[in-house]
Order: sequence, then structure tokens, then C-alpha cells
Amino acid sequence: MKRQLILFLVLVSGLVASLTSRAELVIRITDGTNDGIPVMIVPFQGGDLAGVIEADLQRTGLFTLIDPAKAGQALAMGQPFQTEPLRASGAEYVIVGKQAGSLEFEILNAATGKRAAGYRIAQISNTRRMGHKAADLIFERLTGKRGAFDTQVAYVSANGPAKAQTYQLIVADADGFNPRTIMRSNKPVMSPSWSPDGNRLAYVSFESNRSVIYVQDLVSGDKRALADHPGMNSAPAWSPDGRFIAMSLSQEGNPDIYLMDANGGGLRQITTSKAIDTEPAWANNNTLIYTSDQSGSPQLYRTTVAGGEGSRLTFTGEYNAAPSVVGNTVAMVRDIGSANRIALMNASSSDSKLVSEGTYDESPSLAPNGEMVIYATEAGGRGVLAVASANGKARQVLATQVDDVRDPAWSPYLD
Amino acid sequence: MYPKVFLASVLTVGILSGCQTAPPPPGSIPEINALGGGVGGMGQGGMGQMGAGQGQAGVGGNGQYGNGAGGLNPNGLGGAGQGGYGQGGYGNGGMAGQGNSPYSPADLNNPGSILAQRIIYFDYDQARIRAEYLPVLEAHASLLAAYPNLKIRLEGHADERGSREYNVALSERRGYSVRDYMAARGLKNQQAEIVGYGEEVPASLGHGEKSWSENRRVEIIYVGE
Repeated sequence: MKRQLILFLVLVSGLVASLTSRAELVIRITDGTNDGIPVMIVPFQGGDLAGVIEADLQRTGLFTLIDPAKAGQALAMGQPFQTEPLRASGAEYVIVGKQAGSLEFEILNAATGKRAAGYRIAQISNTRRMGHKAADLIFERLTGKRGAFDTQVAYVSANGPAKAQTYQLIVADADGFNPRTIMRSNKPVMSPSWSPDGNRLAYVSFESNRSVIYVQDLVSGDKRALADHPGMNSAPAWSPDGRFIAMSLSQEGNPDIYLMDANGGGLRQITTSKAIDTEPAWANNNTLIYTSDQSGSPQLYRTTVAGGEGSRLTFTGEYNAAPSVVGNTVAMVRDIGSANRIALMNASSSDSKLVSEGTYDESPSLAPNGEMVIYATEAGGRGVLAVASANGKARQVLATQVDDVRDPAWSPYLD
Repeated sequence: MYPKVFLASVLTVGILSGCQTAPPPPGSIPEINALGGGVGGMGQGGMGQMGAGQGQAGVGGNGQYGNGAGGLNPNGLGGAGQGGYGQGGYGNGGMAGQGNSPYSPADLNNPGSILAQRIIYFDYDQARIRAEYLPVLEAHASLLAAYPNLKIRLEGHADERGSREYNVALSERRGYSVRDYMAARGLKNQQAEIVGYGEEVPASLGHGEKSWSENRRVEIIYVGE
């Protein structure tokens, strides 16, 4: 179902100085679901975080939001409530809360009339983040799965005329708010990859007029060149245990997958095909999924850190590339002829489905719980970031600045 | 114009070939033009023993490219006096070539020369060089073979379709495709540096085949230009 519901989420003033020139960011919800868990989120006393939680839950495609106006009563934290009108509203769960420095909220069970759970989140300076933490708790309580709203996304923005663009590497909250620039260059920057502890980013920069893989500490800002080999240094991917960074290096125009120690050195070649082998993604500490065009067009393959040629994973579509893997789910870019879309495949059954609806969709990156995938698409003639639910039912265009943005990477869990 | 430092180190070995060529058009810089004059310059003016002045002197002449010149060949081999354009091995020669290319570095600045064509375009997801560009690459290869101190960057690019990192690899492959074609025609591999930029530096920001076809390219960039 298409819902052109637009939530204007106005930033509280004084958050980050660099944001003052663009104080208003917008999340545009393009699709939701009407067969999810019905939840009513009552506006909180003393704060506006209910909207943050609504947008978070809706992004998973697992919840259907019920309008609080249908509650048939005034609801407030800690107050008695009537069960019948809540049932009549269609809500299965109702969230009530109040924000006074810290955020307190309760989950009411509309069927039983009981308070299912109560929580308190301590005050932090990034107020919206309190809402994301609340959404994580609600998500876990109602689905049994860990929430991934209180996470971040790294991406690249570009602006300026053709061949004279300025590139920025940006880290923001997972809904696009609170962006901060990590580095900027007048040469291309691409392919951010998070360390599993969320403290560092590996990325590719052409600042020396060739591709070099750098690792940058997000706290100190220190950066160092990790891979500066002759030829192409591309597509870094941090192993889940943090020890290695997989990458694609070329020698004389033949890109293969290699590993390096994350702290430098220890170069080890994994694939040896004559084809383009690139875009490695870790399925676990031993298994790599990557793109290779050895069959004549790009397809996904699987190999191990012991090396050797991979076994082919994808057989649907002429062009499958750029894998992102969480558990058994493999996200990828698929050329469907008329468009590039994001496909999610179950690695066991090989069943796959398209979850995006754009024309130029690319660069999928799964949330650490695998319930959502962020990707680059286009809206209004510029590159934007969107999130689709893994079940394909929900889509949101994230709040980002006016530049052309692309190449998102979803962070790991951050605490 | 090339930096003098670069030119001063020129050292080549002359090649003889007695063929004749048409004189250059009026007003143009004398070319190496395949000549008879076994040419070769050594970076230091004044050696000039060679008879390169005869024939259609191979050396650039006229001081266009700095000092240096002078032949290595003490016997002054070269085509017998065919008039000689340029000043052969004397004084102001300069950028030494091997004397077997119809092109000289000066042609790089001539909008009418085939060497003014610096962009090679490709088909979607392909690194194969289209036939229409073979003469362009042959011309550049000829120049680069004759002037082994010239260096180029081959900057490969892709259109926005497909994944970004695959496109980096694809665009690098396009660069190698261009290099390999030229290497078969005399370019030395170490004269060319290849960089794949993928879809990150579009020549045209729009969508659709027109923009895409402009973005799937290799740009030939002469270092120092």
C-alpha cells in the first residue's frame, strides 16, 4: 500500500552547530504495511519522541500504526485506561510515555488490559537517540528480535558541477539525522566499511589521484593508508572479528580478492580468477561473498578465507553485485532490465525478492539485525538514501542534506 | 609545452629508415616524419656530430622543446640530403624521438590533429575498443613509441548503472584495454599509468543513454600537460 504520509521532524535547536543552516530534515515514508502488528503510540508528555519511534517501527514493515485519536480516551503514562475502546481501535499494543530529562514509557496490552512492560531511558544529549533506544526496546519486546534503530550510517555526499565535485564522507544516525562530516576531498571518496566495534571506518579515497584504502578513527579523526598497492585498491570490508579487512586489489588490470590484517600488513590473496573479483562481504569469519564476472556478467560467489575460486550463488538476473550479508540474508543490486533494484536472497533456499522500487537503486547495506536494508536511490533528481524492510513491505526515504548522497553503510550495533 | 627538466633527460637511439614523406604544411613545426635522418638526441646540445640535419631531421628542431639534441650517431647516418626540415641535430633540437612516427608532441596542441582526440568511449559493461577509435589509439601509440619519455595517464570511467565498486574495476579494465592496444603498437607499459574511477567522476550528470555514453570512457592525459 502506498502512503504518502510525510513526517516533518524538526530538529531541536542547538544540537550540532553544523546543522543550523539546514535545521529541518525530513523522513518521507513512501510505503508502510497494513498487516503488521498494530501499535498505537500516544504522543509523549513533555517531548516529541513518539514520532521518532513511529518512523523507526514503520521502517521494519512489521508494524501497522494506529492513530491515537482512535483511543477513545485520554491516555497518559501511569494512568488507568479502558480496554474496550483500545480493542475497538484495532491496536494490539499501546505505548504511553513522558519525557522529562529521561524518557519513561510503558507498553500496554490492549487485549489483556495489562501493562506489558515499563522502561526508563537516561537523558543523553542527542535527544532523538533516546527515541531510537526506546524503539529498540519496543521492537525486541514485540518481535523477540534485537532492534537496530539506535545505530548509525556512513555515506558519501557529492556536490558541484560534473568533473569538479566535492566529496564528503558523512556519519549520521540510522534515520539520517545528526550528520557529521568525517572527511572531505575534491577527489572521489567511496566504499565506507565499519569496524565491528563501530569506532573506525575503512574507505577508498582518490585524494592521491589513485585509489587507496584508508582507515580512520571516528573519535580521534586520525587516518592512515592501509592499502596503497600498485593498481586498484578497492572495496574494503571488515571481518566480523575485526582482525582482517577483505578488499579487491588489481595487478595489471586483474582484480582479485585479498585479505590484509586490519592493522596493516599480512597481505594474502584469496581469489585468482582472470575475471573481475570485487565487493567482498563477510558472511562469517571464514566465509566471503563477492562479485565476479567470470561467467560473463557480474554474479555473486562464495569462497572461504582459505582461498580458492568461489562457487556461484546467484542464478536469477543478468547482473547481481555488491553483496551485503547478515545471517542467511544476502542483499544485492540486481539488474532487472528496466532498472537496478535491491534484491534480498535467502542463502539456503536461494529464493530472492526485490525490495526496492526505484530505477537506479544500488549499494545495499543490511541493518545488523537483518530486518532492514539501506540503499542509494534517487528522488527529485538527486541521490538519496532509502531504507526498505526485509519483508519488502515498507520503504522510507531518509533525511539527508540537499547534496547528492550515495554509498551507504549501516553500522554494527553500537553498544 | 613540456618542462625543460623533463626534456633535458631525453635519450634515444636513432632509427634509420630511408623513407620519404611529404613536407609538413606551411607554418607547422617540422616533424619527425619518419625519416631518414637517424635521429636521436641526447639531451645536451652541442654534440651534434650527427648528420641528422639532412633528411627530414628527426629531431624536433626549432627549439620548441628545449635544448638538447645532437645525435648519438657519430657517423651521421641519415637520409641523404632531402632538404631537411627543421634543424636536425643542431643546437635547439629538443625532444628526441625515434624518428618513425608521423607525429610529434607539437601535434598534441593542434586541434586539427588526430592526437587532439583524447577520449575513447565504450559500450555498456564492455572494455572492448570500438573500431572507430582504433586510428586514434594508433596515432597516440605511434607518438608514444617515438617519444618514450612521454608519459600518459589512462583514466577509466563507467556510467552510473551497476554497482559502484564493480564499476571501478570495469573502468580500470577499460584503461588496460586501451593500454594493451597501444602497447601492441609500440607503447612501453611503463609509459602509462592506469586509474579506474568507476562512476564517481561523471562527465555528464544526467541520466539516460546520452549521459551514459558520455560517461563510459577512458581519458588519455599526457603527464605534464
